[in-house]
Amino acid sequence: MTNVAVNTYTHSVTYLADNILKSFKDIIRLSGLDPAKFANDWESNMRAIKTWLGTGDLEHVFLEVFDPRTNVLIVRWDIDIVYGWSGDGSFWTDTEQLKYAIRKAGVAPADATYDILLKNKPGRPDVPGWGPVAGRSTDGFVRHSLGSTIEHYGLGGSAAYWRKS
Amino acid sequence: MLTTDEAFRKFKSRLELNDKEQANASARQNEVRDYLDTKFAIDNSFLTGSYKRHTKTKPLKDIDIFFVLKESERHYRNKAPSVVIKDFYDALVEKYGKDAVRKQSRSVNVDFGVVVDADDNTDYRVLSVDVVPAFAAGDDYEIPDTDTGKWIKTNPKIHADKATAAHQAFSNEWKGLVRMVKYWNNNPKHGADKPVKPSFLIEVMALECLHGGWQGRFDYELQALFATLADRIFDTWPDPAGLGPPISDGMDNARKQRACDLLMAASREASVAINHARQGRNGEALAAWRALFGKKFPLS
Repeated sequence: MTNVAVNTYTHSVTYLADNILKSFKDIIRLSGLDPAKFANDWESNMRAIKTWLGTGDLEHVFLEVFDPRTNVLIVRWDIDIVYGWSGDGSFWTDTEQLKYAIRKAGVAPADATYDILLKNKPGRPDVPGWGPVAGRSTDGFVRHSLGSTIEHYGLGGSAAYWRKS
Repeated sequence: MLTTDEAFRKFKSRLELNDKEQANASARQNEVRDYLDTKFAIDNSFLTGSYKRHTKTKPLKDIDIFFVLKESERHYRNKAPSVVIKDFYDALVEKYGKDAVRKQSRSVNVDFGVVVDADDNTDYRVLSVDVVPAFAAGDDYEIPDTDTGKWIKTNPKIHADKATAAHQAFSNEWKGLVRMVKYWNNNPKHGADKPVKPSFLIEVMALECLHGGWQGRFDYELQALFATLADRIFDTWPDPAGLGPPISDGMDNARKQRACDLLMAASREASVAINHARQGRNGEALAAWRALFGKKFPLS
């Protein structure tokens, strides 16, 4: 029985990690940003997300879209990790929901760029290539939550975006 | 079978004010006014609040009526707010009886004893009104607030203008969405205490939380609105007119945490309903929305 539970959670981690990255790829592409940098970092991002989902340390994944000249935030997309949602065993990734919200958030300026940040609980294990950084300020921004975006047998991700108030 | 969009259109229509209800509200205003004219010097009276803004949900209860007092009653303004509330309460008890009349922090509630049927219908009658004593103060009004022991300023017109602007900016769907969330807030499944208090707070938060324009989907708008209300229920939400105390002062931290949990659960229920529809299980989707909102959400 123990092996079954472990394997199920591992499957959920893989599903969630994969769909978090696919969701960010959609956001980057539909916001008019260049996905090349994101594609180059895919493996590293996947390794970190899977590791910290697996240990239960991952709390949020952020996509910071910013002005490269001023380093000031333009819009931020979050996926908040939810552990242990009660559910009926169903799973989904709601790409339509994201597209609906991207239309509200609007297209990013042509020269904008982006970073992916992961927020963990203190004491998370190290992953090569990843170290502590400070996120860009969200002062003067307000957050719009979308509700559940990705779910797999109780492990889930809820998307949100921040806009200037 | 109804599609999700058709069901929401029908639900929205069921929560809209109709002519019969407006006639009954007007009759109740006149009835109370005719009586209070025998007790106080009243300059004018008018229906106001969420009823007037068309953001009131069904069944229609606690409709605000402002009774603007004449200068000859100005002595009340120099006394504690509890004095005028008590005098209005005593006067209304004389006509409607003690069981039908209740003191509130800024008004006196009169319950007309209308029974709500199993489908939340009232035969187009209003259940109760909130009688609000008021004094004109320039373009604004001053009303008693027994919670703080002060007279506070308010301006129903500014509130109404902001709601109208938000409604227009949202392709005239904003008020319908607000009424739906208020209907959820009033659902008896939450027990004696509504999750969000006052329900006006939902409207104030929606001025900011419904943003980006109507993109055509009730299900996604409500899933996101519930989630965003949960996310931001701990923020301070000022009076949109910039006159009175913050609207969010009506709940302490424990109550905000309860509201947060219930709003988050509502967003989660919406996610499950959306997934049913995505999988082609339309009947289950409608049943899930009905379980979330209540009896006025249609199944057919």
